Amino acid sequence: MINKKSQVTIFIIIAIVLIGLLIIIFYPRLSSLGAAPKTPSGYIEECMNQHMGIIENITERGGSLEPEHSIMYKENKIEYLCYTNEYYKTCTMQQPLLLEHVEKEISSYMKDKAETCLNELINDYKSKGYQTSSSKPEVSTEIESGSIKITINSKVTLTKGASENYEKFSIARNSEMYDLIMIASSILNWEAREGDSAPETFMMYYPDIKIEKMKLEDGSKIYTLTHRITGEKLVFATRSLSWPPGYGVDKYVNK
Amino acid sequence: MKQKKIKEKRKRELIKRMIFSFVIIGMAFLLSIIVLTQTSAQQTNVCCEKTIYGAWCQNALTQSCDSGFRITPTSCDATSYCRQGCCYDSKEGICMENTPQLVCQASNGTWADSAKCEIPQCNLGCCVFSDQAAFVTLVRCKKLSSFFGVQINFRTDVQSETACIALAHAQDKGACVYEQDFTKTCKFTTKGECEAMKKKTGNYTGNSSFHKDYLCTAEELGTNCARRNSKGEVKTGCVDGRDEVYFKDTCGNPANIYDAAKIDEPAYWRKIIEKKDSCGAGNTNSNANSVSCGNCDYFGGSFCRKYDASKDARRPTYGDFICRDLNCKNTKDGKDYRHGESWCIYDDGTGKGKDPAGSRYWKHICVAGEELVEPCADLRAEICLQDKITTDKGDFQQAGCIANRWQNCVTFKTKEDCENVDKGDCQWIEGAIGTSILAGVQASTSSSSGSFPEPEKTTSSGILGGDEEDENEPKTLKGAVCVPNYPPGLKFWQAGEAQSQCSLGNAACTIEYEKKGLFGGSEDCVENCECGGDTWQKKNEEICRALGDCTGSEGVYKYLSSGFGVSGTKLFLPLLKGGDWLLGLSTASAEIQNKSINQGLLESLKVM
Repeated sequence: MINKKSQVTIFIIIAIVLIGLLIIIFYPRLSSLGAAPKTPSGYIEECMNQHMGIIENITERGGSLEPEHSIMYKENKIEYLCYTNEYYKTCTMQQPLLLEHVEKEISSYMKDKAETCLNELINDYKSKGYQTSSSKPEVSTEIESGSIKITINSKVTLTKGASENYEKFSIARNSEMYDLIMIASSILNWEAREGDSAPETFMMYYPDIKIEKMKLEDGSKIYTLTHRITGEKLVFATRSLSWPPGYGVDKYVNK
Repeated sequence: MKQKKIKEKRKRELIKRMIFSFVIIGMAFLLSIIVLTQTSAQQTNVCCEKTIYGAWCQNALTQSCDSGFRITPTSCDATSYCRQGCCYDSKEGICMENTPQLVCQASNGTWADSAKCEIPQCNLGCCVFSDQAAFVTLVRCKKLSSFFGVQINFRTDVQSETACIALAHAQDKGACVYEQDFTKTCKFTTKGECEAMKKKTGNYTGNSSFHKDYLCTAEELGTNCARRNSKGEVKTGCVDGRDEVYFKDTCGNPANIYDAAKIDEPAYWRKIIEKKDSCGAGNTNSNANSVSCGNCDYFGGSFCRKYDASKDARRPTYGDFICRDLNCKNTKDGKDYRHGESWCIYDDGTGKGKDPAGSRYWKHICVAGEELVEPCADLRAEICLQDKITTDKGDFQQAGCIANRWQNCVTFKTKEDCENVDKGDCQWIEGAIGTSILAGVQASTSSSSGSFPEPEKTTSSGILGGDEEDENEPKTLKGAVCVPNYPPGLKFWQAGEAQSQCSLGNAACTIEYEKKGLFGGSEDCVENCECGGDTWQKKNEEICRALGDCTGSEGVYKYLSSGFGVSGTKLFLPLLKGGDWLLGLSTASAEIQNKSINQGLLESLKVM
């Protein structure tokens, strides 16, 4: 009697262990059964959102990911957007269409990332038994008032019985970068025309924008534009109408 | 015969040697020409299409140019590719000045030959959209109108920004009543926008009607926009382009300025009440932190913002928005400043040559409750100037960084020229003796200007000495000097310019003594006796200090946390290495008092 009881107990214990093992093995699949399947658009959006932080890296270095002509400031390379190497002279514009330049920089970085995200999407669907095809992605960025929109143009076909075709994937996020870039363009025009700018004038007109100007020893200026609500920043450098130390025997700051 | 052969051989060898020598000399000559040409080419000012450090279109020395790009031995303005003009962005409608042609075209811009953008595409006009306005180009106006989803209204007859903004505020506003999904609803907007809504398709049904000066909550309009929501709450909020906190109806439209006392007053929710007739109009603090009144004034120092316990003193009685105080309290100089004010801060003394080495001018700005710091150019190339204007709310301080015009000071010969602020930032110091830059010379004695102070001469007169004064002996100048009011900062740690600037302060004073008695009794000072005391030294220190960072002051080492690793006046030791004269001066002075000069000691000090 006792033996029978102990056998039942052992069987129950074995059954519980087996059920536990089965749960451990199949849990990921079971959990995915409960969740709504991701659409290709949702998949790309989630994947691309991981790389959106690059926008801050670009805008906090003067609009370029790898600034070509820059000055070191707080351990960052800051690009000169208007520059003269001479004393007493106003600057020459180096990046006249700043908005387009920033858009191009974002697109150029995002192109590789879009390709990676598409490949991951394709592989994921292949593993689910889909027949897939996709074209090389083209990425474009639009910085607009209140938002930054990244569009990936790629023909993606997913077939499993019926065919699903996708041509465009869009990722958008709220941003006030457009306003910051437009104010930066205005500051650059002041620098090119007058040799300097008055940040307080801009701040009085635009209550949501904070503008800080730091003058460095060689006459370079670092402008930091911050959106008070979103906290976004645009940092760039200029060198215009600077005065030499002493009598100014040197004509150029960079010989 | 043999001798002849030997002679011929020697002759041939001699000719060979001569040819060889000529070749060597010729090659050396050619080489030197090449080197000289290259050297002079490197020193030439040229226009670099691109420099080695990546800047476009810079006038520079040849060695700074990137050899992969064009280099023209002329100014960039004279080249076709680097000539500055206007770069027009046809997409955004903005014009960028001083842009080289190649830079503009590489950025897909349209270049025009006008550095200041005086072209038709860049002509400004008044762009009115909704109840706001901007003084922009036509293309920019189209862009802005598209953002707001309104029809373009570009007025070329308005010629100033002020008139443009006034035009926007002068627009008729009121309740635009229409039907949506068979419900009579309302939008508070301009007459123009209300009329534009008629043309729109979609969920709008029926005709819209505009009721000038009415609010959407006016009972006679019979719309679904109410004062309080189903929970009985009243909402408030900020409105784009406006300073004040507004009541908001249940449709999201702004009503009148938030006034807690009138929350249930039907008349206050019927028609528009002007700002000047609203609560707290004209208050000196612009209703900052008021719990009951939302009549904020941005230029007066308050602005509509969502209540934040960390920034706002009190929570508003109704709603979540308040007039935030934008003024700055207890700033770096311990004073309070109003929003928009700016003022100057100095590291230490300022003007009259008091600026210590390493000091700088700073402009502080109070904006939105934050104290921002803007340094003026380093090495006192700029100074900070401040002034105030009187307003109905008290004095309003404004400051700016301006160029320090010190360069011509030592050339001014009269007090009038020196103190003329249109000509420079200079000061006139009288009572100088022996300084090499004396301008207004009062005593007509000669000078040993520009040289290091010389040992004084002792003349003798009397029984044995007699009058031995040499007519050709250099004498001491007395008079006044014109020196910078704000001493320029100099790179005194580098040899060169700082030395020459500081050497202007070199001074020499010849003191004459008369020996009394036959066998060398006491000596009486008879000429330039004032040079023997502290006054002469102090006066010359004052002049020297005004000339620049030529020592004579303590500097701002006390502000430096690290880097120099020195204390007190040791900061100025590098100056002495440059052959500067202060230590020499004080030593010389001491020596004069002792009536003997140890020139060797001075020389050794000069090369420290």
